Amino acid sequence: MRYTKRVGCATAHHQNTRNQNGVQQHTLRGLMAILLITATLSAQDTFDRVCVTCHIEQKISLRQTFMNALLVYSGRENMKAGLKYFLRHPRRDSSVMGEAFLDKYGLAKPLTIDDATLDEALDIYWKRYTVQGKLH
Amino acid sequence: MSASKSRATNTFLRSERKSLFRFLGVYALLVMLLIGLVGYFYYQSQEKLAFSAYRIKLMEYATDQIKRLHYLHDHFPERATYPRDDRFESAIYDLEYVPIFSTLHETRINLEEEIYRVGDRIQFVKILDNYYLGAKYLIIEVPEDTEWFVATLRTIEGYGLGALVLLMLIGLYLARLFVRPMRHSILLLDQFIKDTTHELNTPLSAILANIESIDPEGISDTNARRLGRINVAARTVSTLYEDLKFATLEQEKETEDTGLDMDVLVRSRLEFFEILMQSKKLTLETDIAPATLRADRRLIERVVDNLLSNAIKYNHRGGTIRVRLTQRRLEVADTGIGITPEVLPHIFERYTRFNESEGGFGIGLSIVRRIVDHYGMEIKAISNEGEGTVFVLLFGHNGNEK
Repeated sequence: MRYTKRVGCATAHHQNTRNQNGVQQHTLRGLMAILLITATLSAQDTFDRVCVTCHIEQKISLRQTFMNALLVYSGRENMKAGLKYFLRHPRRDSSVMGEAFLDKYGLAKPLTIDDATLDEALDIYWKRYTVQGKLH
Repeated sequence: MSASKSRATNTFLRSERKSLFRFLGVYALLVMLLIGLVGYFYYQSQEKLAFSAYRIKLMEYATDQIKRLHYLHDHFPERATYPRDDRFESAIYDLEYVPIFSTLHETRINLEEEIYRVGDRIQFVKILDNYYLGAKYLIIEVPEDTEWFVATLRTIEGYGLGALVLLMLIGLYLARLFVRPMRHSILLLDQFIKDTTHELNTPLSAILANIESIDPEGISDTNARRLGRINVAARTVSTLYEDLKFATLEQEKETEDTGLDMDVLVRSRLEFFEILMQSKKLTLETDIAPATLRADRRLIERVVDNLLSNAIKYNHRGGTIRVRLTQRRLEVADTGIGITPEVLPHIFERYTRFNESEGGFGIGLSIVRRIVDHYGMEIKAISNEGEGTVFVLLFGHNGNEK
């Protein structure tokens, strides 16, 4: 979640082909690309934007981190508070992950996103991976 | 009138019996309280023992369940079936008391207690060291085995009843031990009165016979006055003697009921007491109508004599005695010292006296009560302290039927 990433750079290659395919065709393609990127961005929620992308890139399972956090924090509010504090002030001794994990991936840098966004992301994290209501 | 020998010799005075019953009542209450307390503590200890046994068993169940939760935690969400066991039901709650999953029958859980009874179930709460699946609290529930409860209840009932009987017997023994001196004194007093009464008969008869035989005309005025005083004293003693004789020697006699002319009897007894009334300068006012009654003359005489002698004894010098007889009632009123409200309800009890200034044993009115009760009559006393007392004997209805 500390791994924020800018997604979606505007394409500019239409300038190089203006003379070959005509102005209207290139303009249409550009618009379609912008629309596609906008649609992709709008389909992602705060958690996806703030946490998932980077975790995928780093190949760190959010399920595994959640289950480890669950072992330590148990309840929703407790977990949110614990993780929030950790993400703001990451330390090896307060991490829910093991030594081997930390040796391999290192310690995350402190998150600087605003509180509201972080709270929202943590709420989504809980809802997505919680055990409650999923046992039978 | 008859009375059983055992009643005459073995019964306590009413007040003594009351004291005995009161003591036994309080004692029984304390004994039951004590047995109740002991029973309660015994029940508590048995419950603790039963819970200890449950604790060991449920701890084993909890350990098994924790292993399964650990496995499920490691394999979630590929495996999402909550582990079940035929031996018990269980539930897991998170740190914030939110239920994660439950198969409990009884949902009224108490996460503050380690082991407790709820409904007909025993629930055991195990706090997990690692919060597998986010569970801080694991609750194991089994149906309560009521065998120990029934056994404990039977033990309490059995031993409690035994202890109650034993302690009550001890209490009865102690009570009898405590009242024995009092009882002994009463029996001694009764025996003394019996012996004295028996010894009084001959000399008293001789005194009365000789007084009657003396011709007042043949002696000086001084001696005549002395003779009058002797006569008053002898008649007073005679009344007392008759009461004592009745109370101690004749109470077991069968009654011999005959048709009595109450007016004749009352006049005759007034005549007998005339000399006593004169000695206290009392004024007698009578209103005597003919009245009949079927009863033993000896007993009715005791009633009339006691009412009249009390009216004389407790009257002021120069006072008035009013005697009124109708077909259904006899009233004897005096203008004497009266009876205090505290004493009034007890005047028919044996050895109760209106006050300590006058002589007597306090048995007269107890005799009256016994006779009145025997014939199903009614008697009541109305008194104002310092103004006088009225005794009302209602005899008409029941008395005539006997």
